[in-house]
Formats: sequence, C-alpha cells, structure tokens
Amino acid sequence: MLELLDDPIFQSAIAPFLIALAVGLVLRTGAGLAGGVAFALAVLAAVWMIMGLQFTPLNSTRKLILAGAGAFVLGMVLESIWRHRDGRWLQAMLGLGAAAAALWLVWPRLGRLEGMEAGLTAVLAAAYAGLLVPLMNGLQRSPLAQSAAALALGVGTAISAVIGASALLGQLGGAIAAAAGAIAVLLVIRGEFRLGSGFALPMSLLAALIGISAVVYARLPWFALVPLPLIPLMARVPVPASLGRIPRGLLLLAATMLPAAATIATAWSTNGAAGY
Amino acid sequence: MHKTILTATMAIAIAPLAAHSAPVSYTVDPSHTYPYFEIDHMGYSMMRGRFNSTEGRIVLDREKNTGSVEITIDAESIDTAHKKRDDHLRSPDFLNTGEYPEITFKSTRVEIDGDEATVEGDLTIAGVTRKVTLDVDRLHCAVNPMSKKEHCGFDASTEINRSDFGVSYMVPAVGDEIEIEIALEAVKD
Repeated sequence: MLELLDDPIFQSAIAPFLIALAVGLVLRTGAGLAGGVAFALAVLAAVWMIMGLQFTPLNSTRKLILAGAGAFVLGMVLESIWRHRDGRWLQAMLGLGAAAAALWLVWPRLGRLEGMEAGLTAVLAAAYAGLLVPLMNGLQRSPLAQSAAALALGVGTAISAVIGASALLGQLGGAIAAAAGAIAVLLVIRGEFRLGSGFALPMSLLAALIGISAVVYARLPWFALVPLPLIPLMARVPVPASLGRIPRGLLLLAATMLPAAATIATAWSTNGAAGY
Repeated sequence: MHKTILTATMAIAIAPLAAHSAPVSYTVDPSHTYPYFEIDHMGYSMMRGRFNSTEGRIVLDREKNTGSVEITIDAESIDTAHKKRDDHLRSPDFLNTGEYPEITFKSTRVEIDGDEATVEGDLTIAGVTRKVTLDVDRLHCAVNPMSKKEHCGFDASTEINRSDFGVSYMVPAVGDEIEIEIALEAVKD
C-alpha cells in the first residue's frame, strides 16, 4: 500500500480520479457545491502524496497550492452568497485577483531578471492568469462544457509541464485533469448539475499558476501556453442539444483538446522528449 | 652595529613563523574548485555530478588551528553530463534554481589537526539551512611554482539527506542520501 502512495501514476491520476468520483457520488445535493468539494478533496489528496502538506519555506510550488486553496474558499463563498456568479464585474475582479496571484508566484524571479525581461515576465504571467480564470469561470451555464474544458486544460498543462522539465508540476496538472475527468464522468452518469465557482476558480487558477511556474521556474517556453486560453472558447462551440450526454461530452472534449494538443506539440517541438 | 645585525637576523628568522601565526585569508579558485555529488538512481546505479561554478573565501589560523570557510555554489551550474537531466535538477522538482540560485556553506567552527580538519557549518539548499560537518583531508598550503603565489587546497566530504532540505521529490525512488565531495583550491589574498 505504501509503495502505491509513491507511484506517480497513482498519485496524480488514479487517486484523484477515484476520490473525485467517490465524493461526487456521495454529495448528491449538487447546488453548485458538490463539484467544488469533490475537486478540492481529490487535488488535496494528490498534493499530500506528491509533495506533502508542508508550507515552509514558502516556495513557488507551495504558493500555487495556497492560492488554489484560497480560490476554493472564495469559490464556495461566492456559490453561497452571490447570485450573479458570471456577471461582468465579478469576472473582471476574478481576473485581477488571478493576475495578483500570478505576480505573487513569480515575484522572487522578477528581482533576478533584467528590467525588460522582468517586465515582460510580469505582464505575461498576469495576463495569462487574468485571462484564463474568468474565461473558465464563465462556462458555468454548461457544466459538461466546463468539465471538458477543465479536463483538456489539465491535460495540456500537465504534459507541457513535464516536457518543460518539471515532473512535479506535471503531476499537479495531472491531478487537475484526473479530478476534472471524474467530474465529467459524474455529469454523464448523474445528469448535468451545476459545478459552480467552487470548482471553476481553484481548477482554473491552479492550472494557470502551474503553467506559469513551468515557464518561469522550469524550461517551458512562453509561447507554448498561448493556445491554452483558447480552451474555454472552444468549449463554447455549439453542440446539438438533441444529442445524448455522452456524444455531446465527447464532441466538447474533442474541441477543447485541440488547443491542449497545440500546446503539447509546441512544447515538444522546442524541448523534445520528456524522458531521459 | 652588532646589535642592529642581530635584531635584523632575528627578524628574518622569525618572519615565516609570524606569517603563519596570523590568520591568512584565501580566495577560492573557481577553476580548481568543484563540489561533486553522488546519489542513488532508483537502485540501479550511483549517478554522479558536479557544480561548475563555485566562489568563496577561506581563512586559516595555523597557530590556533582554526579558521573559517565560506562557499557559494551557483546552483544553475549543475552538470551531470546530460542537459535534460540538468534542466530537471534545476526545476522546482529539485534545486528550484529560479528561486534559490545559490547553495551556500558558512562555517561555524573549524578545527585543524595537521593536514586534516573538521569544519562544522550551515549548509543552505533551496532556502533551507541545516548544520553539516565537513571532514577535510589533504589540507596543504604552499607556493604554487606557476603563479608564485601561496595556494591552499583540501578535499572535503560530507553526507546529507536531501529531504532535510525540503528537496524530497521522488524520495525514495531517487535516493535521499547524497554523498558530497568538494575539491577546493584557494589563492592567498
């Protein structure tokens, strides 16, 4: 059993998938909370197995976990008290918050870069997180599309991070993909239920910060991330409502996986094979 | 006259002793100073590597058999003869050089015994500081016939657990224990 806990596939794929699936099945109430709780518990378990729950010294990887936890709490609060969760002002505020989290993440690196490079790094990090989080949060009217986008975002982030020389960040991205995949399965099994900001905020912020870390603290080139914000846009492609949940889900997954594949291909073309 | 000659002769005679009695400082020679390490790779083999860029300063007080050692290693300069592995070792998975570009050692106690020494100090890796003890041997100081300057050199070794420094990714698959050997040369200031 202990050996299983050290297995990277179990840590970042099997365990978060099973935990999200089990928690989602148990929490039948829905109401925008079940998806968030299932996602958070699955990712928390993965983090515990992959890197432990120690937070000192507060390095970038620990920062991104704390930011994800903060986003989960904020998402659950919004679900409980806020009616206009996809309103324009709220989306703008979420974008600003995500940009601030990105700057907090890259701050130690900025001080060691030359002026122009530091400025560019700060702008790109803030823009990437500030764009991705509101776009993913804005998919709440279509849970199936949101879960497909989350799965594609997790896959694209995870594989590109591994190619960009960080298996740790890749595993964390894999946990996002696995949890999102389990929630997509739940949506197909149980019928569509609202995933809510408790799911969308931590999922999108974690994915954004993992991608930024892979660029700033590993070897992933900036331009490899460019296709990923297209994922929530591809999730908006019209899919015939007359189709069943499984074909609709597969179509949405195929559409959202295109930008993820572009990111992976770009990372591969610049960094080559992941293993050594 | 005789008294002056006697005084001058005595001064010349004790000059080398006087030179040894005061603490002497040396600057680390990066071209002859390399920290090497070896670590178990999933039980298959012992992988070895080194850091290519090291700076520092040592002070030796041969009269009191003590001194000090300060070493700064450029963590980015890690070299295991394989670029992709080096990139991985620089990433947040291991040394996280983007945030922690230096590995430092600062002695807190030095005890010299002939050509051997024990150096206790604070080793900082990835932002975490732990006490370590370096076992020094082959401590040797002499004028280098090429540069005509006094050089000192030694070999130092220690063993650490990387998890003590928070560098615990893939422990135990990739070994926790790391053997460290430092070949160091320094030039008298």
